[in-house]
Amino acid sequence: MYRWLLDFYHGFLVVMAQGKRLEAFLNSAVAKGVYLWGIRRPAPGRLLFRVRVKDFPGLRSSFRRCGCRGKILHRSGLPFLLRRLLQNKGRWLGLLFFIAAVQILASFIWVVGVAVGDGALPGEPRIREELREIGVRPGALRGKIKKAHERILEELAIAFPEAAWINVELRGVVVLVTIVGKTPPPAKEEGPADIVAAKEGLVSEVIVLEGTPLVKPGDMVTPGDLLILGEKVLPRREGGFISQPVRAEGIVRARVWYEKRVEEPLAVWQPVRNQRETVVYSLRWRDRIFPFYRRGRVSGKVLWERHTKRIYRGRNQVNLVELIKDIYSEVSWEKVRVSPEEALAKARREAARELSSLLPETATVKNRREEWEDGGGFLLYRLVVETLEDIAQPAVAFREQQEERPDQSPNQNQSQNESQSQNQSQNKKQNQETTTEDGARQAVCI
Amino acid sequence: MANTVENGRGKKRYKRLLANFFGLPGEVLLDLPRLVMLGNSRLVVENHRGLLEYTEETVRIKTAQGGEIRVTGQGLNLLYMVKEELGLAGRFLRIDLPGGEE
Repeated sequence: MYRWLLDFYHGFLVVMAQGKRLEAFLNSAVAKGVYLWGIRRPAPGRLLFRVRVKDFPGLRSSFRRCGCRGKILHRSGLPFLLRRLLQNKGRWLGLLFFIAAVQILASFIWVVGVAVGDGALPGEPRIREELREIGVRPGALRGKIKKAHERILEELAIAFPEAAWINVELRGVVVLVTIVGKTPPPAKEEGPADIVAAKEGLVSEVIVLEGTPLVKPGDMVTPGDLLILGEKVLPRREGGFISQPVRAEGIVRARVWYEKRVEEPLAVWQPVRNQRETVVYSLRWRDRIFPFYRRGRVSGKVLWERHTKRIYRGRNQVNLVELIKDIYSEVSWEKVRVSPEEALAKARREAARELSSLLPETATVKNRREEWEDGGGFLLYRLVVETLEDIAQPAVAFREQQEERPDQSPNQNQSQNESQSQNQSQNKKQNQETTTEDGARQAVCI
Repeated sequence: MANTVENGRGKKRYKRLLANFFGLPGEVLLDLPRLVMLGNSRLVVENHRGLLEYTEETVRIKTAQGGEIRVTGQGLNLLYMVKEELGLAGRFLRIDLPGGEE
């Protein structure tokens, strides 16, 4: 191989020698240190051989001395190939034209892609129109877009102030514009509201920032119970009291108990693999799977395992081509006993996992109690966790809705109030409602 | 003349003794040809002195001290040839090493 490459690199000739003393010619050539190969006798008095280009001139004296004639039949190798290529001007012109065409075509933008992210943003047509005005359109010069990258970003930011993030990416002849809208923070709720209990618990601390507290430490509350009333009672100049609706604010800490029961079996059915299995190799390309090799045969119940190996990620870094190995193992189900310790550990893990999703982050665990017993084939586990947490939750005052609907009779309003109060399990005083000139709702205690 | 022959034989004998004593390769000291055969289709001859005859049926190779190797076969052709070595291919039927070679 190495020899052939070297001969090809230097170039070689296929020569035919004619004469009577051909053996003498070969001896004479070899004596001069010339390397000959591929020596054949096609006919008596004729000899075909190969020789390197640089050695051929040295053979002339040998030809003459032995009375032979030499004729070059074929020239081969890199020097001759290059010479032939350089001689063919049309081919070079074609190659140059091709390279120039590719270069010119690649200097233009062909595709403008727009990706609109989340948030309040105008539609894609509007963005495309704006891009066209800025100069980002199919047919635009790629270099121009590259130079004006910063300007394009600035102009887009001005055109779309609602955008939080804008990116203009140049991928070959494709411009990909990505715009993500701003996500405004949730609007602060305003207007009168009460604070109710979110959970059942024993109140241990009440801190009122606004409103009238209706519970005190030591009270037991259930979900929906009114904790802080969204009303502020102020004394009137003329005498009596005036009740002004406010948005109740405050912290109501309570001891809350969480209970979780888990039943863990002390015997489970488990699949046990037999020796028999079927292995199927497949090739996945995008969503299609092409099985190409299968080994073994199974019947009955089987356990399926899949192993994948990525072959080609693809341009967008998704696993475009994958080699899949599916193993179907024949199994028989066997009843396996679980030790009580193992079952207890499993039940503990399960209960802790389920409780962790219920407990709020701000809750402080004060006490933890667990108990378990054998329930005939099952381990019955019970976990009780006591926490100290804020159970205050704002609730919209329903009286606000009554004001928005003045056509309703006071009786109707009252009945609606009562029904809602019942739903929330609130025990409120019945107030006589009056309306002042400025529209603020007031109540006078009788 | 007899002396010359005797002297030549004597020189060769000393060379052989020297080669045997020091364990030197014979083809270097005694100018003997070295033949390497691959099956009956390839033959490499080292330390040759040129070709005497080359046809598709017979190749005669000259060796040192007037010796000759005769290869008879079918479709014989020379793969390559340099000063010290040549490669032969074809179907070999017979290889004669005349008595001159030891």
